[in-house]
Order: sequence, then C-alpha cells, then structure tokens
Amino acid sequence: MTHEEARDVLPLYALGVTDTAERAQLEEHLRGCLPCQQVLALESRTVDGLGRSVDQVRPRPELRRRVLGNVRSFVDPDAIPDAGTSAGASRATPWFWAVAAAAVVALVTSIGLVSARRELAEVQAELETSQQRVAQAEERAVRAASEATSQRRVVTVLTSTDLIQATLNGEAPAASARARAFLSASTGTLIFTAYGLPALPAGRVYQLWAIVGTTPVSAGVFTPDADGRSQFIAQLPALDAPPATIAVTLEPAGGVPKPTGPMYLVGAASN
Amino acid sequence: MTNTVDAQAAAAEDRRVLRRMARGETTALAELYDAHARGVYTLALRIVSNVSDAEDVVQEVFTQAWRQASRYDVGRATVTGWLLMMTRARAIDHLRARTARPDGVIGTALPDMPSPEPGQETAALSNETVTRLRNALGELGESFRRPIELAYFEGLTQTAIAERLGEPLGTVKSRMRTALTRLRALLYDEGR
Repeated sequence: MTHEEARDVLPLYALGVTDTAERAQLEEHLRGCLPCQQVLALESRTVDGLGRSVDQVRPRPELRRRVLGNVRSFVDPDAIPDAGTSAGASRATPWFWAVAAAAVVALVTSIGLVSARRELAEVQAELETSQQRVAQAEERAVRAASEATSQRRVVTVLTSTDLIQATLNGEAPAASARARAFLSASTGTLIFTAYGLPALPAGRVYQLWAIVGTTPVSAGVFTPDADGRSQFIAQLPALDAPPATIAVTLEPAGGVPKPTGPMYLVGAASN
Repeated sequence: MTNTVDAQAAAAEDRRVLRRMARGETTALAELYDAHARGVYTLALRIVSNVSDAEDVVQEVFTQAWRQASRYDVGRATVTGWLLMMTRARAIDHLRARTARPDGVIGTALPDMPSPEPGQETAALSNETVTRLRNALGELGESFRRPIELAYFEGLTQTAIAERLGEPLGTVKSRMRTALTRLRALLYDEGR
C-alpha cells in the first residue's frame, strides 16, 4: 500500500470499517510509517469524540453498587493464603517443628490480615453508601432549588403589570393541538404549555416564536413528551415591542434563526 | 485554553487512578466509575437502546477495566478513549447477540494501532472540543453523518452500510472519509 492509499484508508480504519485485506495492508504500511501513525492518532481522537458526542444520560444509582460489588466478588478478600501442608509430620524432626511453628505464625498473621481486610472492605462499603446518600441529597437539593426558581419565575410573569397572553390553536398538521403562552414583555420571560402535539418526525423539533411586527423572535426549540405535551419557561431577548402573535413551527433539529417549516400552532397575543 | 488544561489534568488523574487499580485498590475502581460511568452508560445506551443491556455493558466494561488496568497503554488512547472503545465493542456484541445479525456487522476488535511514539501520550479531548465536534456533526448533513453513525453506533461494515443506505460502496466510503477528515481538521486546529 502506498503512502497516499494509506492516507485514504486511515479514517475508515480508525472507525473500524475496513475489510480484512485492506486492514492487513494498512497495518503493514503503518509499521514502517511514523507520519501515518501520527495521522492515525488524530483519526482515533476523532472517533473517541463520536462516542462522547451523545447527550449524556445518568445511570441509575443502584448500578454503582452492582458494578463495584461484582468486582469485589472476585477480588475475594476472604481468601486465606496457603500456609503449607502437614505431609511428613509422622517423621517429625526439629527442623519440621521449626517450619511448623513458622507456618502457625504465618497462619495467625494471615488471619489477622484477612480480618483487617474484611473490616476495610466493610468501611469502604459504608463510605460508598454514605457518598451515594450525599450525592442523592445533593441531587434533590439542586432539583428543589431549580423548581423553586421556576415557580418564582412563573409567579413573577403571571403577576407582572405588562402580562401578555395568547391562546394558540392547532393549524392543519395538528388540528387538535392547543397551547397557552404568558409573557412578561419587560423581562422577556415566557411560560408555555402545549398539548395534543403530533410526535416529531426524525431530525425535527418544534420551535416557538414571538412575532414582533413582522419579525419572528425565537423562544427556543422543544420536544413534546409521548402524550404530545410540553411545558417550559423560555427566556427571550429584550423585545422592541410586545409581540402580536405567538406561533410554533416544525424545524430541523437544533432550530433555525427564522421560521422555515410548516406552522403547527398560532395565536394572537393580547394584554 | 483552561478547558483544555482541565481536560489534560483530568486525563492525568485518570492515569493515576488506573495505576492504583493495577495495584489492586478497589477504591480506585470506585473513583474511575464515578468519573466515567455517565459517559460509558450514555454510549452503551445509545448503541443498545435499552436500559437493561446498557447496564450489563457498564458492568462488563468496568470489570474489564479492573482486569486490564495494568495493560492500559497511555500511547494508544486516553483512559476515556480506552473505556469508550471497550464500551463500543461490548455494546455492539450485545446488539449483535440480540439482533442475530452476524452478517455485515464488524468484529468488535478495534484497530490494534501502534503507539505514535514511545512514551507519547494521547491528548485528551476537552469538553469544548466535544461540543464543537457535536455541532460539526450536526452540520455535516444527513448523507455524510448517517454512514458514520451506522459504522460507529451499529458496528456495520462499509459494505453493509452501502446496502442499508442503497448507495454505491464507493460513495459511502468517500462520504465517510470526507466527514471524518472534516471532523479531524476541527480537532487538529484545536491542537495548534
């Protein structure tokens, strides 16, 4: 395989999709080519990145105990080292008794060590349990603080003197969908709740818009739950004037700066 | 920059943890788990698409990490990369076992790449780089992104990908190469 051919195959090799013959030829080339090895290191970093490019999901806390417990089960802290055999005891000699005495000392020491290791394992298990409880408590505290903040924001919007409301009705693609929006024009905080939205096609999201004059201002993208419901608080940039219309369109994942897709919900905003 | 420095510091800590694991310290395994369980679980779940199998994969990966800690080669991958490589291999094994689709799925032994230079460490990806990579993936366009996803997350060979997409093999290879090269350029720029 030539150098140029190798450079062509390297990205596919790092991804693990080369066929057997191609792989063998490339590996032969790699053994003698430091520059290609360096390119491969970069390709491999890219592939590493693919594995980390997925939205992170937290595993269940119970999994930690299961994984660590599994490893501990074969580390086996209770194994008692072999302290020797008693073969030849019937022909006891002074050196035999010396060895036997040493074996007894070794056995007693081993038992002491085993006991200490068992205690250590118990302390470690207790420590892990405590750490898990602290982590769960921290998680609950963060969630509670977040919920309290959300509630404060809802109250602030609903009691604001410049409250604007809109009832959104479903357009043709989502005739039975409905939504409500509450917006404090001065702070740009918008509370939105919708139901009856159709499931999203692959690679698409819903995008919420506040239309000021003829200018749509994005209030973010969202994905409804399995029942077609969605509820969230959005923060809009400062608006030049109160919006006259609130609308929802179907857009590519990640959202767009200006609406491009079909309108699913729309409603006039009023004081 | 700080982000990159943080990533290198975290990678150095990972290597220390692995050395402790190689000495038989189970507390080090707990630290490795706390640092990486989320990433391992996320990738496993993305590939196998169900919680039970994903949890099995996590258990297998950390057990394998414990057993092979002394064989970890700093020149071949970061600890994160090493764990994700094992995760992908184990998860694709599960996928293959479940879907009984032996044809067209690659063997999960990943490239046995040589170290770039003796003693050279593989650079860690910063969170910022991963975010840029994710954005770049999103911008690639379906026709370039999909073959890479089928290869990485489903373990398909290039021939199987071409069949799945109904595209000529040459086109699929060319798109995968272009996409990966574009992503690599992004990472390479960061390293400059």
